[in-house]
Amino acid sequence: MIMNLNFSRRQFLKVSGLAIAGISALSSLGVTYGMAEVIIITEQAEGLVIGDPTKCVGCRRCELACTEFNDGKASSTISRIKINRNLQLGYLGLYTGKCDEGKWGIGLIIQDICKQCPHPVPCADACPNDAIVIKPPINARVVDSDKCTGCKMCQRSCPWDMISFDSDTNKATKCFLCDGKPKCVEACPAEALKYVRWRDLSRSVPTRISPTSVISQEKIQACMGCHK
Amino acid sequence: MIKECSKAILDSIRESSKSGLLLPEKEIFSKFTQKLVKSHEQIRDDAIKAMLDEVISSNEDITVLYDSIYCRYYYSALTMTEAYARLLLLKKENSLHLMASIIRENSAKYPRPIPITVFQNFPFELRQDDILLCINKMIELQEYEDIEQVTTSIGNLFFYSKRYLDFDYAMMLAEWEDVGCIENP
Amino acid sequence: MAKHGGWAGKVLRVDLSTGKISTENTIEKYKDFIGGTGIGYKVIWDEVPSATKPFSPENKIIFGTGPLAGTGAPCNGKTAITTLWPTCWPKPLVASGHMGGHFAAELKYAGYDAIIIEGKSEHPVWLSIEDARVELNDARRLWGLGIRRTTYEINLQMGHEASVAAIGQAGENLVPMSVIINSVSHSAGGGAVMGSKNLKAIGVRGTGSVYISGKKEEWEKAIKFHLSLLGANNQHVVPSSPQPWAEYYSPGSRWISSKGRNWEASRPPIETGSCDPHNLNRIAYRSNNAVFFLGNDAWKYTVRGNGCTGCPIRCHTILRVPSVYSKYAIPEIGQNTCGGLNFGRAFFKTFPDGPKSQTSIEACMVGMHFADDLGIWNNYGLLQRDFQKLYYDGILKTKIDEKEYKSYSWDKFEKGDPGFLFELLPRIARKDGELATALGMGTGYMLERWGISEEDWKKDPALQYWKMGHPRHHSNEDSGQIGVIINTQYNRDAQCHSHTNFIRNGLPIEVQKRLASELWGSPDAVDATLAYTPMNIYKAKMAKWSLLRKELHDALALCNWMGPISASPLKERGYRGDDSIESLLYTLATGDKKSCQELDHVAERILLLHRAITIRDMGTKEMRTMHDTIPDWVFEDIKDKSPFSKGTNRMDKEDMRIAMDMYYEEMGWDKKTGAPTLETYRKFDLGDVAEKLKQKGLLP
Ligand code: SF4
Ligand code: SF4
Ligand code: SF4
Repeated sequence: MIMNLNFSRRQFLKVSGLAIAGISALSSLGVTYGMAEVIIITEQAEGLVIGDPTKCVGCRRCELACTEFNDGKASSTISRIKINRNLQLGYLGLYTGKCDEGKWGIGLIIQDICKQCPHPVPCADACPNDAIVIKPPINARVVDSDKCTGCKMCQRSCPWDMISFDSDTNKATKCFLCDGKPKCVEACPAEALKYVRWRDLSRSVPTRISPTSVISQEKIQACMGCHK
Repeated sequence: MIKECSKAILDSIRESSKSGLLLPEKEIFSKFTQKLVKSHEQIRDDAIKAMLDEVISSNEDITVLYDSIYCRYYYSALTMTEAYARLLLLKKENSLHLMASIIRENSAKYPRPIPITVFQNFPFELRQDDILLCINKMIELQEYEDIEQVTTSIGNLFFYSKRYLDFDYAMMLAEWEDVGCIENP
Repeated sequence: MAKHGGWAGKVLRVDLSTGKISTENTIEKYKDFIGGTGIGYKVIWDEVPSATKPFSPENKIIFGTGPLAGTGAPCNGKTAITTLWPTCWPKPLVASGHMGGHFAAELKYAGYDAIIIEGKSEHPVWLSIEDARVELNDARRLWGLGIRRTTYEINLQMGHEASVAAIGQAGENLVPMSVIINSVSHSAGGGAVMGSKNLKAIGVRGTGSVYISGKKEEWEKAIKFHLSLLGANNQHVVPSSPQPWAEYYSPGSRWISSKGRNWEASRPPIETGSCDPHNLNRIAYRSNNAVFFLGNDAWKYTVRGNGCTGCPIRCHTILRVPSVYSKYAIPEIGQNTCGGLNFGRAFFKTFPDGPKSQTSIEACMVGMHFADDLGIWNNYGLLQRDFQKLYYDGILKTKIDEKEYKSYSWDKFEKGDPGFLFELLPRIARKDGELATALGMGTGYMLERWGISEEDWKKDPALQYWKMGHPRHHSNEDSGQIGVIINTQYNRDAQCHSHTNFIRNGLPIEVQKRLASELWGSPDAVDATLAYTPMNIYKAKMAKWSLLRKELHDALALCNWMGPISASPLKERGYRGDDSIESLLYTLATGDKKSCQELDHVAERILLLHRAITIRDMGTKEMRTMHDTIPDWVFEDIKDKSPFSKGTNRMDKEDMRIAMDMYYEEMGWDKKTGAPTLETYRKFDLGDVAEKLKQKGLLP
């Protein structure tokens, strides 16, 4: 099965125009590559967590499960599902003048969840260290913490602001679907979260921030390799 | 075939319990006789009966209850308690008997009078007029002479059995539940 | 990483007089008191001299969370607010309030277990805490604003995630009956103490973590275990109507979900359904306190449940009642739980369309709209009962002048028109006029101001007035002598729910008695409601246990409205709860291994310190006669039924004397005075406290 696509520049030039090359399932398991090698994720994820805002009661048990059961500490900042930021004043919030959601509004609490974006995956493509890789068998887009240098480029590139940053480890962290058994879904006392077969929400959900999209030279070349 | 059929019987009992219902034996018979006939096998009631017995003896959760005319009903203890199954059975009988049993049980066991809303709500869903009609009938009948009512200070009706509770006790308990608990959250 | 998990590790100290902001090490200084009220009492004992007045700069106000706040331990949203309580009469004494919401978690993530506020600022300020960055900000522009607007403006400055605890106009104007509120509806008393310090609000934003010491797998197991034992609000463990999965039911249970009962104002509506206790993904549908208190009509208006961090119960219900917008031009959305929902409607004796009617729901909405913005406290419903008595007994007319009297639309009040609240509530917050001022002082001071004797109030059973300006709070009506003992112990209404949560859990008396014998040594520890039996030692044990668990919860930052887990909805466990769940969670979270007895020991130290402060500040050791008093109505019955007959809450004086003896004995307190002995103080490592009391002649 095709996992992450690893393009070394040299290799790439050689095979450009041909089929995809440089395939390695090992990349996601921490094998490091030289600067000249890049990972372009083309595989889709298998699963996705979706939230039903009409049912969310704002208890944040999902945030707590995500961090306590995965990281051994409670923190809404590093939680990979985000409730707190929409909880009081809504999704669009104060600065847009649209704070009619949340506890202070009509009570609607929107869960922010990683879309497990299809190719091109904004966070992964922005990573200068190829630290965002896919992890089989679910193919969640995950941070390989051995490669992550904590530069926060991914954080700035996710249109939904779904990359968290753990200041204890100085690494980025993002939803990895708990390897197919999402803790957040299990923890929700209101059946407001579901683990479903992946579908593309990246086109349906309004973005939260204007991402700073910086793609390294190597990756651009890799793109052009396929998209001539 | 037999095995398949037993499995289907088992599943349908569990399924109906899951959706909160008892499965009458009659229904099992009609459903499965039909099914078997379709498969051109000669099947008699006693074959189904045998299968049912087999289902009961090999599945601890499957339980049988009898109503007053000895019709059999099945449920699975995996999703339904005996208390609830008995209550469903009562619901099939006449409302007087149903109400009296519920009222007596509450007075004896907890102990407490119960508000009229218990009968209006799920799972009884009786209309208020019908409930009052029943209660009025009970007054005339010897076998229900223990069933009494009290009204709380905010006008709600509670029922109790004087076999277990005296008037003052029932009155105060009703008032406590209807008014006291709300004022003392 | 912190040496211990659970605790954030630091206590923040803010001196408003000097502007000095400093921190202390929680573990070094406060570990023996865990957190919450424990830290609060410790600070009051060490730093606030007796005879300090609540509104003087020397008083301090402590916002205390505990090691479990901000974790996934179910129901951990409480911040205990401890200070000299301004409605405590005739002399303000130490007390605490318990604010839910999201403040506690945010404070922990910012790195603090508690905040000690001292001194007084020259001009209005608000405190911002963003992790290590703590600042005092000018609040002159916020002064005069309601809690909603204040919160909004602070969030504008601090961002969406900040949790804001603010006072409204009532607190600013030093109305003793005032509260502090965060996250829309989560309140606790002490608003005027903040006001007296010129502190409008505290905004807190934390980006850090609370560490769990134990293995994450074990923690996950413990959390799931705890969740599996939860019932509905108040730990009621049976449903209110028969359900397929249930063996028992109780119409008085707060577990009111059922097939056919929907959150109807959600779009589209959501069915609450059967809610089998084994399905942990439906815990949030079990309770709907709006329906419980306002009646079945409230289903129509229910948007959903809401509540504190990490709590699956959701005791605050969000309501959408469009008619209040058209009738009263107030927002159609509101939310609160028991006391807050009852706030507006409880003023009225009747409503044109009945007690649980549309109008009563509108009164609830109007009440919440004002109370939670102006920041007014209801003294557990005594405010409303006082008001009715003053009016209907004709007392009010004699206490205020005619002009003022006529300025209120009494016809509206008598008719049950919620519009009346527009006249009354803002005036309480502004101290506008004699009536509003007196009501805002709290019962004790109001009576004193108007020359009414406290005895008159104690005589009227309908008022449920207990002592020191406050009403009963789960007393004899909830478990006979046990409730009475508990109600003698505090300097405000007793906030203890350990006993009532058990008594009202909905199980048949036989099952309750079986559980009671396992928990407190004998089935005789509990009686069926309204069928009390004479005092016995097991009741004294249950009373003590109830108080200790309350203090323990307040220190750990667990919600005593949901604990202890003395029963569960699980038939396969014989409906047993787990008495040691606190110790399991505490040990795993902090890494400090403590058995449930050891934790109870700490809780007893905290309760003892509360007792010591009370003795010191009252200046007498005669607690039994001067403090632990019981109003006469406890010993009366409208029908003159004798004590211990069925159908009465009436207690017997001699029996209650024995009850108090047994309780003091269990606590190691002197029976004659009700004051703890030197040995007892020493047993709980409070020898230094005892020394100080000894110097003042306050040891028995
Ligand atoms: S973190 Fe953002 S960009 Fe990356 S996969 Fe998730 S939603 Fe897409
Ligand atoms: S699936 Fe796992 S990693 Fe993703 S948000 Fe849920 S708990 Fe966190
Ligand atoms: S656990 Fe469920 S209800 Fe609670 S905040 Fe998360 S999504 Fe909302």
